[in-house]
Amino acid sequence: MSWDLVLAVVRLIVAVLIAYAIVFVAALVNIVFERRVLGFLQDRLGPNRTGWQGILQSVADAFKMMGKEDFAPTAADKTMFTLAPIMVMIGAVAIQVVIPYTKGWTDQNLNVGLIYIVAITSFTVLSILLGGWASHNKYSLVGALRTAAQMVSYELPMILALLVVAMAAGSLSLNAVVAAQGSYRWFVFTMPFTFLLFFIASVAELNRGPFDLPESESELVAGYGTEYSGMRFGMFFLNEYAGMTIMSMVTVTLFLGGWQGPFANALVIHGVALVPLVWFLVKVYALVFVLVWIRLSVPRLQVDQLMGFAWKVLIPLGLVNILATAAVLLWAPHWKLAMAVYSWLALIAFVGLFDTLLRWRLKRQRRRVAVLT
Amino acid sequence: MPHGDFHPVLFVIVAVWVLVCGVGVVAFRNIVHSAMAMVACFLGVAAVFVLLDAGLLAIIQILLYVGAISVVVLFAIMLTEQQHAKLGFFFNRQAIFALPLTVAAAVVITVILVTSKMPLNGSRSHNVSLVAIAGGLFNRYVFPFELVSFVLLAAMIGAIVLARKEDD
Repeated sequence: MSWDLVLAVVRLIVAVLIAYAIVFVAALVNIVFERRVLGFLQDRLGPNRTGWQGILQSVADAFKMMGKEDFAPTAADKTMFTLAPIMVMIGAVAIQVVIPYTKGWTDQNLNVGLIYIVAITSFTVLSILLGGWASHNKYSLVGALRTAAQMVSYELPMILALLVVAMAAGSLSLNAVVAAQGSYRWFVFTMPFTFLLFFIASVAELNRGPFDLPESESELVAGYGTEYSGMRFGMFFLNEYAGMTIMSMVTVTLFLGGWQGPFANALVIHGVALVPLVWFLVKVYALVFVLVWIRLSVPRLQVDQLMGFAWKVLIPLGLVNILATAAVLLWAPHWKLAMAVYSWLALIAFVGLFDTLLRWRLKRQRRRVAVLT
Repeated sequence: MPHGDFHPVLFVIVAVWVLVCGVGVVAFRNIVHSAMAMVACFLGVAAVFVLLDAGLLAIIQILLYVGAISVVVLFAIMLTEQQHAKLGFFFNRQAIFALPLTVAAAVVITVILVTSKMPLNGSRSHNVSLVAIAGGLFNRYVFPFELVSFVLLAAMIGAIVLARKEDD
């Protein structure tokens, strides 16, 4: 047994603990953040009693949850019922391996980071499906199946958008993606249409409003988490909120230039630049704010609209987007400029035509229903 | 962990894990437990790929088998099978046919393993670059690739035809 091996194992354990800590802290921060922002947007106060401006509110809630009875229904499959909340965090924790937090700081510069992100998020689907089944409750099962269907469906437009990023960056490594967005040529500026497709798909992957059907209280009690209580419920809940930060980290890395910003080399300790870390966090929390904002502003979709939107709108658009970007990359002389022009035009066309097409479709549908009845 | 070091102890751990999970897939009486054992088995196979320094294969393994196939299998089980279905005894009458087939498969795999020239130990050249894989898929082997996609298309159309309602 050499010291190197021991050191490697210790390093691994510490890294995993840090990743878990980031997930938990992010979740607790996001819960307070969302409640306060919702309060601000709705012209009320929100939680402001526990600690300064209520920042300790979710810490108190977490302790309350841990103190609750560890309860499982009699009919539940005990092993799987326990396994599901443990497994649900794997995605959020493991994804951090490839995220470049700041200049010169990634755990592993995987050359297939983009595929890794897609692969590792599938654990969430698996554990939600498992949790819903193990609860032995109809609401849980239907909720879990809905969630899985939604997450699997929206994974496809997300992958299609990721492919465009990979094509533009010329690599699947996240560090290379960040490097390709140097000197403020962020992909959100050069390909806003792809960003929009990715962003919509990522909100749906997070199961957040307007795509929060998995726990639509009005139809499914609480979806897959109906039978869960105490800390087991807490794990699902924390994962969902940590997901906001984690997904925003991915989005920032892919489209908003990652850690890049002014004064990148101002403060460097042991090869780790600190100022870019601040830029990274600022961008991430700007996106988290947008997520909260969207949740408040847009009403929830119906389940049939949800699937239709993924399969009939986002996936065809994603395929066309890939085709067009590939054509631009291959044949256009100044492909960066041409791609930006194409992408902005596509974005304007999408946003401009969306409402009109939706109205036209609705009118046609109503006419058909009128004929049938 | 240094890359490319094929560690025998780690391999034994992973191999035992894969075998135990594989037995679990057939031995569990609850079909969802079997499916979960299958997921664990796939993860073990991905770990084997990591040990062989084939990171891309490991990730594709997780993406396709854990992320897609297992989810679809679980989906199908939950939508169709009666929960807590009572299954028969471990060995049923089909064992007579299964046994020679299994032995034959084991013999074939062993022969291939023994006679093949694939270096399994101490080779660092296995980390094939993405560009090489893409070149193989889209240039050299483009015909089989397209053929496979054609089969998939046929399967997809078949699924749609089956799923459509008669009166539509």
